[in-house]
Order: sequence, then structure tokens, then C-alpha cells
Amino acid sequence: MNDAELDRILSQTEPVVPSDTFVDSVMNAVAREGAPSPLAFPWLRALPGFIGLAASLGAILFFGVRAALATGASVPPLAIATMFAETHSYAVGWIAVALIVTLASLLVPIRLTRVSGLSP
Amino acid sequence: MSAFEAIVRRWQTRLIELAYRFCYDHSLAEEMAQDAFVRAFRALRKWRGESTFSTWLHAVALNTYRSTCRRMPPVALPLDSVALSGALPDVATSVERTSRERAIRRAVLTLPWIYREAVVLYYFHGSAVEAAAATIGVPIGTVKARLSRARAILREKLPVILDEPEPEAQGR
Repeated sequence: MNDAELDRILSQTEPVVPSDTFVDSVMNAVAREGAPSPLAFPWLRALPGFIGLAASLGAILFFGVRAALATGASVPPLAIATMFAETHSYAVGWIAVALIVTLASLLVPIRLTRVSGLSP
Repeated sequence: MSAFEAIVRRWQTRLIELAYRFCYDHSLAEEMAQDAFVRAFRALRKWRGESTFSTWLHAVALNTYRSTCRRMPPVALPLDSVALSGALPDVATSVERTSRERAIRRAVLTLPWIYREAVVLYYFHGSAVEAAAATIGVPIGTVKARLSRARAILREKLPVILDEPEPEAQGR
């Protein structure tokens, strides 16, 4: 038997026809096992944000308490109303900016995930 | 999900046929192809388009089939067919010829994996060395060398069946 004859024999194969249920079986398996796992929360990337948040809270508490003590307020230094009253006088603009940035940081990722098809 | 179903419908026959050439068992071939599709679904986001989708999908399938075949027990030589061919040299029937050719194809399963995948993919892709090399992920020269070595091993394993004349020629 020469190589050409061997090639002819090895080129042939018995006909293979997928069963009627094959596609359904695959799609069930894909839905059962192949569903993408939920994205893990990016703790490392969020770390600077958490540090900034903690620093901001610390600063608010510090300046709030100091302002309350300086004015001689009789209310407890940690009273939220006192802190808001103190910040209201000079930080309204910054609060508005912070709210806008927060809203944008919420809406932009939602928009991006919808565009990329990552959201369900 | 429906887009992936279209992919499954489009490629099911090819992937089952490829799996079948590695096991010659229809139900096992479907199981292997299903595993390959599930793995492809998981890895779909990693496909960056460096190769054609066809090449990528076949490479994913080949990796899946490699894992499955390595878990399977070694394939024995189809000695019944060899014995039949040698014992009845004067019976030049199409049945014998078919049996003989099937025995040769089954003998590919006894080859070490690197030769088996080269042989299977080369003939699966219509004797295209380039396509086989792209699917395996090795240079073309490597596939050619493996094909040559595979043929030599087959001749060592099946001297009776490969060296004897064709049944029709014997009957003339």
C-alpha cells in the first residue's frame, strides 16, 4: 500500500450526524455550567477610594468637633445638625460638586456595562 | 445566549466529526463536542481575533479532546480486522475492504497523542498542513515531520494490513 492509498483511506470517515437534541443539550450545559460568574469586587482598585472616604469622614469629624468646641455650642460635638450647620456656611458648592461627581460615577459605569453587553 | 446557540448550530457537525475521529464512538463524540462548546463559551471573551474564529474554536475543541483522550484507556489494535484480512486473502469483497480500511483508521487511535492529533487534523482539514498546524499551534514543518513519523509507526503496527495487496487486486 502506497502513501496515496493510505491518504485516501485516512481521509475518509464514517458519516457523523448530530442528534436532534444536541443543540438543546449544549445550551442547557452552557446555561448550567458556563454561565459567567459574577464579577469579583475590585477591592484593590477601590482601596484608594476607601482611604479617601475614611480621611474625609475623619476630617469632617475633626473639623466639626473643633468648630463646635470653638463656638461653645452646648449640643454634643458629634451632633449631625451641628456639623451640617458649620459646613453649610462655606461648603455648599463643594457638596454640590461631590453629589454630581457621585452621580456621574454611578451612571457612567452603568451606561458602559450596558453598551459593552456585560449587564444581564 | 441566542448568538451562541447560532454558533453551536453552525459548528456542531464539524466539532462532533472531529471528536469522532478521536474516539470512533458517536455518543462519546457528542459528549466531547458538548464539553468543547461549554469551554468555548467560557473562553469566548478571550478571543481577540488574532486567528479566525474557526481556528480558535478548533483549537479549543482540540484541547478539550486532548484532556478527554488522556483520561481514556489506551486503544488496542483492531486485531480482529487484521486477522480477518490475513485469514481470508481470497475473499475480495467490499465488506472485507471496508473492514480493512476501518481497521487502518482505528489504528490511528493507537498512535501517541502528538502524532494522532497531527494525522487526525491533517485529514480532517482536507489534507491542509497549514490548517492543522494553526489548530495545534505548532509550525508547519513540525506537522509534516509528525505526519511522516505517524505513517512510519502505522506501517510498523500494521505490517500485514498495509503491505498486503488490495482485496480487489487479489481477486483478479
